[in-house]
Amino acid sequence: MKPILDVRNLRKTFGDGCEQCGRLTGAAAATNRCPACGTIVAVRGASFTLRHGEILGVMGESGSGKSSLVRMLYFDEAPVSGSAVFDDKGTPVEMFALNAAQQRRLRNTRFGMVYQNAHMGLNFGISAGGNIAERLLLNEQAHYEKIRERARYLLERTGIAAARMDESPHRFSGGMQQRVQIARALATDPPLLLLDEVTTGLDVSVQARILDLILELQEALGLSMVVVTHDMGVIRQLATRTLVMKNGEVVEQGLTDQILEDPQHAYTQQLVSAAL
Amino acid sequence: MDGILDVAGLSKTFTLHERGATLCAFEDVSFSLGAGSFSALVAPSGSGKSSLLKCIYRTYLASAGSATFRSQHGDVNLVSADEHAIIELRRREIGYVSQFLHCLPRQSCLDVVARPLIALGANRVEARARASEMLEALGLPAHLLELPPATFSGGEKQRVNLARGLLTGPRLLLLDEPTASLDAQSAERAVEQITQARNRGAAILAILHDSSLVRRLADQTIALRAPVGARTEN
Ligand SMILES: Nc1ncnc2c1ncn2[C@@H]1O[C@H](COP(=O)(O)OP(=O)(O)OP(=O)(O)O)[C@@H](O)[C@H]1O
Ligand SMILES: [Mg+2]
Ligand SMILES: [Zn+2]
Repeated sequence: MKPILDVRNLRKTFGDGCEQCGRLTGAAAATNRCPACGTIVAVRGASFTLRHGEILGVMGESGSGKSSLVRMLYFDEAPVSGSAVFDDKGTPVEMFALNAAQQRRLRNTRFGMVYQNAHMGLNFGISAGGNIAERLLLNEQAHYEKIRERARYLLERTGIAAARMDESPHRFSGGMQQRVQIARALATDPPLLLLDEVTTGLDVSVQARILDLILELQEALGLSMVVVTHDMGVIRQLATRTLVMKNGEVVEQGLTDQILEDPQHAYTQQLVSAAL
Repeated sequence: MDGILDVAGLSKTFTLHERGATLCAFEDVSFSLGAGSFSALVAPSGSGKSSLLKCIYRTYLASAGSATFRSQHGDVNLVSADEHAIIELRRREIGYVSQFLHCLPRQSCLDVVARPLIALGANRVEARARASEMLEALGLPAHLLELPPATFSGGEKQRVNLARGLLTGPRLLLLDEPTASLDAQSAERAVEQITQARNRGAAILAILHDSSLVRRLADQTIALRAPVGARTEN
């Protein structure tokens, strides 16, 4: 079966780069900043596939490039090189060869993103329902009552009382804001969800309920997901396969139980033993 | 006897980077499992029995050798197969029951056991009914069915684990001390279910601490050499 996403050698740098960047950055060099030219190699050339209905975990310490990786996939950032082929209902689409309008279409209708910081994912100037409506409007669904109906449904589905749909996300707790983000991400029934540290900073009990919601949605809707987190508990609960990043480099990937019980790379061993 | 698994020259050495050491769990192990057979791994504590099961299930990466599984879709070397192939085999053909229950927290016991069946397309009501039957056969008290197993006793968790491993009817069943935390009567019920799985054609590879059970159940015993021990390099 074709993967829903096939990512090859995706690379992101901040800075002009030099001949030495390759050699002087990465896991072995223990830095993502080239000492010769100051360029940050945020993602060094990441390759992975994601199957339909699969949850792939991406873990690694702060600054390892996890967010940069998913931000490229959501077109928040442009890669400097590499490719990502998205299986759009059977049609392979080379994501970074698309023009801006085509990228916007994918982003608005086929992908959903949930950020750690709700301020990145939500418009706090409008209501919770408005946030969902906004995405549906981008998708050219213009019938007012239909949009409201859909927003109501999605909020209920993600555990927010529909009675609160006209309130601003300001008035919601952190956990509720994440739910609204998830509802917004799901608005157009996308097959692919990108989740960046969605439970970080929430109370443990709130975290647990968000994770339950994510799993429940994944099972019910058959969603494919890339889940970025530095929390091994989240990886253990959600991901069937996991990618480990350090200093912009994917140092190891494998079945989640293998990564956690028989990590191969020195860095992964260190992460796992620190969490025990 | 139809072969289901051929293990040849399988070895596992852990490389512990931080300590600059390697540790050999077991070395050069070879054996075959036939359909409808029960094989017991016997060896002293620390000689790599659990590691061997985990290498076959691919929770551990073997360092050398092969484990050829005759799957319904052809031969697969479990040591090197693509991760997605392993995921599929785990869903449909290979079951593993460890001493510890790993499951999603906050799910009822019935859901934990029914989940793999549902993942294979069974409807939820039917899957839960079958889960309930299996748990009952293993002697789990009925009032526990709707509770999450997190707070269960060791023996209760073990039965949940076993029920989950048996329910999808895998062709290869890896059992790590499946009766260790059970009282005699519960252990007997577990043995009955495991025997039924064998009679339906499953190949069973088990680690059993109880040598009388080994004598009673095993068609073959597989011995591992005494621990090779830690070896420090560099
Ligand atoms: N716009 C930018 N300009 C310069 N450097 C950046 C920019 N965005 C990210 N970086 C750098 O790229 C590297 C990877 O950052 P990224 O946000 O992807 O890390 P992360 O793994 O998501 O970390 P965290 O766990 O802290 O969220 C970091 O060194 C970061 O400082
Ligand atoms: Mg990040
Ligand atoms: Zn440089």
